[in-house]
Amino acid sequence: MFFINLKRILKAGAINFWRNGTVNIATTSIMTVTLLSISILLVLNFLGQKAVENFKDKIDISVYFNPDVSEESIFKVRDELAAMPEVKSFNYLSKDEAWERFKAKHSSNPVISQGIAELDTNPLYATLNIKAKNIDDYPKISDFLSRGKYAEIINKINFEQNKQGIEKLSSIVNAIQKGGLWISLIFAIISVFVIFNAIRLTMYGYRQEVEIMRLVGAGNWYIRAPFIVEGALYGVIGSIISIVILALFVYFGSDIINRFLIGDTITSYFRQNALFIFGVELLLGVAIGVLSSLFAIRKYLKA
Amino acid sequence: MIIFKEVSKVYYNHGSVLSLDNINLEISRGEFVSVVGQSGAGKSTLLKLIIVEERPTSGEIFFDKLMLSKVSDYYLPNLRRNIGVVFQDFRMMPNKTIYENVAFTLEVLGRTNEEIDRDVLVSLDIMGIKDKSGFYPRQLSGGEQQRAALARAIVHHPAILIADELTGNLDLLNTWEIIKLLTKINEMGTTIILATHNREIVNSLNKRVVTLDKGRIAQDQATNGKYII
Repeated sequence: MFFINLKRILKAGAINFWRNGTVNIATTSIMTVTLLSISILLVLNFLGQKAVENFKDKIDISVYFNPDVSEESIFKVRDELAAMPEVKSFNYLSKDEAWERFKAKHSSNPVISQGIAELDTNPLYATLNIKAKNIDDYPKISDFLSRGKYAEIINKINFEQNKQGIEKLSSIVNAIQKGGLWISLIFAIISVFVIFNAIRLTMYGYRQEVEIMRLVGAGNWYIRAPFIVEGALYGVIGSIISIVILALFVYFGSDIINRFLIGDTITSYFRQNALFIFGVELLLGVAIGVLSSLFAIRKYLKA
Repeated sequence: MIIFKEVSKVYYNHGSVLSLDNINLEISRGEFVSVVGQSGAGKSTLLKLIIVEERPTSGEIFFDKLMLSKVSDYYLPNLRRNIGVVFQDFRMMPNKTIYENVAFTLEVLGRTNEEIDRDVLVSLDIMGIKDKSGFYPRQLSGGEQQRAALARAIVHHPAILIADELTGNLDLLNTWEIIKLLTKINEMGTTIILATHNREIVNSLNKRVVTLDKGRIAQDQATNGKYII
């Protein structure tokens, strides 16, 4: 009996859905826009995270030592850094190595080469490049170097410039996430209202039928269920259209978007996560549709 | 089968209107009862109380051992599955064919498609509209629609059939055809409660007649009743 009723309810819901004509198109459209905005938010979140990760990966602290500091003193600093749990790796470049690299790099430039030849001393500093395990560890390492016992032998630490870049990028990503969340929320609320009214309009058209159904002994759930199916169908159709639009957007926009990504591509991200995004859309779409239906039909189901 | 014990019904809408006043009534299984009275006498309210579309303000109503005045909203669908209802305005579902309209009553009961097919066609055959099963209500005449409504009301073999002014929109020929069908249904064992204005119908039936006047039972003629207002 359960499966017979289920089949009849699904059929009745599908018939309600198709009979609604223009109301149906408007409702499905607003549902699609809602779900699309949520999907775009997910993709933007991914792009933002990737951009921050790429930027973070390039971050390090470069410590320039005074010219008169001996390598022995520098190695003491290096050894202490190596003992710090926050330090992931470091790379030491001596004055001479730095000078050789500089000369090799500009050997094709006659003006610079002539200038180098005229110099009788090495003007470059010995450098220690340090990478932290975590972005949040850089301030601690920077403080250790600039405020500790080694402050006098250090000429310059370039962490502050990078720090500002990271903070700016993070704030942009956060703003996109927050803005996207609000836009999605607004669309979701609009969607609930539109679907609520669409179902209410359907119910108004069916009010006599509902009354007859009740009089022949149909229970509230038997009457209610087809309208819930109708609401859920708005979610299902909306999520299918939305994922198709998103796929087209990724396909045609991948050349432009990939310029901002290193290593990953938007296409590979979409391929790996399309099912997840569709699942989120489907779940949200059906939830919005079903909730709207439940609110809309309550009025017509007094005993 | 149905017992009204000191039942009163007051509608509170822009003041209070007493629709039924201290009604005591007992209807036995298999009876054919005509409820007559002028407009506003309380006929429709009496029927609405039986199908629990309304609840009494005071008093008690029993359907067999079930106290209708106290029946829960949850149980109502079960109760209504034992009652057939027909109205003056047919109340067919416009988006469903005649077959689908009649079948819906059985769908609610969870019958299989085979059972539904068999019972719907039998019911439509009894009403003489089997050939109209694929039509929509708007494609049928008033008389045919009322037969379809009757088919829907009896397809599940209810214990009781409630008919509210069911001939009010029909011509003379169709009226008598419908009354004949009602008599036939009653002879098959279904209790019938018919609310009507039609003097000729009531007088020709020679059945029990309950006359309502201003919400009270003015007369209850147990057999061979006549319309006396």
